[in-house]
Amino acid sequence: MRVRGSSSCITMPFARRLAAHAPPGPLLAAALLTAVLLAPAASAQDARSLGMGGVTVAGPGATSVNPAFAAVPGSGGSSLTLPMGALSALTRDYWDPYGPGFDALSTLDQASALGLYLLDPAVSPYRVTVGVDAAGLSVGFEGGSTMDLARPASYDGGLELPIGGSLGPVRLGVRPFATVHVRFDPGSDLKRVFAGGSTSASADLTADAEAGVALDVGTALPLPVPSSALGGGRLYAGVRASAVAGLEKASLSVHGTAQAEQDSNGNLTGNVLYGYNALTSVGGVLTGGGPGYGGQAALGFAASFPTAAGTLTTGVSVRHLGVMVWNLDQVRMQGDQSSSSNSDLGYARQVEVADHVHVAAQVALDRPPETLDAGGLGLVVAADGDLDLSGGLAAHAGAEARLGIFAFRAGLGYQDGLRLGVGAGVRAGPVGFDVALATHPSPLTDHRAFGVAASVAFGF
Amino acid sequence: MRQRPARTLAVVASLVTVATLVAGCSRHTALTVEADLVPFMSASETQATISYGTGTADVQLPFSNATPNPGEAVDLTQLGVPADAAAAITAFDLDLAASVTPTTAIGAGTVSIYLAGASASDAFQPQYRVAQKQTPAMPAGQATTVDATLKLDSQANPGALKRLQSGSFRIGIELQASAGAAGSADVALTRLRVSLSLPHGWGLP
Repeated sequence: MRVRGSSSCITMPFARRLAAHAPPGPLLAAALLTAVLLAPAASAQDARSLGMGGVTVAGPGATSVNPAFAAVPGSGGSSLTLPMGALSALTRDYWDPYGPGFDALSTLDQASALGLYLLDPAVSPYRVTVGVDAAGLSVGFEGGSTMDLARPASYDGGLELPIGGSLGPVRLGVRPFATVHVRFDPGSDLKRVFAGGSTSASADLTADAEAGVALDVGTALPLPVPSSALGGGRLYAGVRASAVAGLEKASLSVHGTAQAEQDSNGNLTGNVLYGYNALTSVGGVLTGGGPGYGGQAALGFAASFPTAAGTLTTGVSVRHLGVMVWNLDQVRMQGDQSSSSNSDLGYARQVEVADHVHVAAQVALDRPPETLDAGGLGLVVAADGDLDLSGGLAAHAGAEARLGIFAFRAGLGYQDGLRLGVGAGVRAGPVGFDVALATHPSPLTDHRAFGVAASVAFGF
Repeated sequence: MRQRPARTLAVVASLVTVATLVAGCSRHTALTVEADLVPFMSASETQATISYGTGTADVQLPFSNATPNPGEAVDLTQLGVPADAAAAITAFDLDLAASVTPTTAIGAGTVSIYLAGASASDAFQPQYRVAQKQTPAMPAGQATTVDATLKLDSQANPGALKRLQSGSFRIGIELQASAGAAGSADVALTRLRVSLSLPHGWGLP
């Protein structure tokens, strides 16, 4: 392995492979720009949610998380989150790789939070020191954001644009979507590289991305349980089934190792033995292999109770139950310090069952202004939890105080690290505008960036 | 001793790659590589017995049968350092120490480091001397530490830095001291640390 003469940014074989399959540049650029602009709009967390710590407020506005909420009385409304992250590309110079302010870590941070205009994105270290001594290899950082490369890092991005309506008790919709999942797992020996030194290092990287269109059909109904048995409350059940047409999919799995060679006396020889084993899979409408196909289902239950403090709404749901079938071109790449080989395995059917199934619970207490004694103050207190069975746990809690046409919010949550949020909103007839100041855990670092989100809300 | 540093620098080059990958790329990130080369050298490369006579001893390393001594030729590109990386080096530090145990007392002297151009036939010319330090008197039978440091940057020694940046140069170490009686000295290299710095944003387009 030698340092590339032209650039310190590594060109991965996977990237080259993707490039070989890639559609023409302008089409790719257009797709990327569209994703940057639409991803915030399709985000499950609008400015209202971010201002409440990222919480999903149980109720009719959260049918994407729990289909049973569609039957709960009340108005859900919808919102359009503005692409504040894209705004940073126009105003901040760290995006431009040819510019004097280019910073890949800042760019990565902002790109992972396209719904936020990050005020203080993570900053690359001012100095990277690589050490070689009797203890082995070590890497240290000075300045910039505190790097944390010793823990697993993941990025899960989703883009959904649900379009639909109701036909009696049945809800119909079309939902273009795109998802990205990336996970980096450092081996325990690699962790020691950043904690003093190690003679070996290993790590695993997995990444997959797919895009497609889902046709949704769902319904939600009150369950025939006597209200008296529930203290005046009602139970609801909802289900959503989706037929999914997959447009494109790409995945990568890499295991890499490096070992400083030692002689029979345990002394370092100066040789580095390294190896890698990677499997890439690419396929779809544009890159060959044809469209993927499959189905998904979501199931939820909800309950709503009148209480002295307001209406209490709770729910539990399971979503992303399903199967997808793709025809992907697979290539295995293996190598070590003395040889390398690429084996084109050809197209093969890949079946994914129940990938990234989420189990979630939600609870909210809504105390409308008219039930209060004085002041016209309304209050919403909400909490949720979301478990990704493929790995990942999130929980949030937040509150909203409504005073006339204004709303003020605050909350906190855990989602890839601690998140805080404060926000405000204003309503004028059927239209509202929300802003939030929220924290965002920056990838690869301990940094928590502050960002501004904005949404336009419709129909409450 | 030529192959070992080659491997060592290959390690360093690998680490440069890894570090720039994990740290991301930015215009304000500078890279420093620090290596202690002694663990990568065999005992025969770090230990030697040197004979000396009465009077002023002048020991030039590496040893050479040629007169004058051309020094050790170093070609960074052959050691795995790309030419543009060598040309971009903004600072270079060398820190060495050796334990010297003479059989007869040796008086105070000097240790000097020379860095000459690749085409120089005598690396030990005064104009190539880039560092010099007094050495203490060395009692007979006792181990005495002799050390020296070299710092090159655009202000400390721009001429020598340019020779380093060319990627091909000659280096030598000279120990001068006086002895009252002939004898020999066991010399053991205990520290050989090098540090080189690349500029902010190195490698970016």
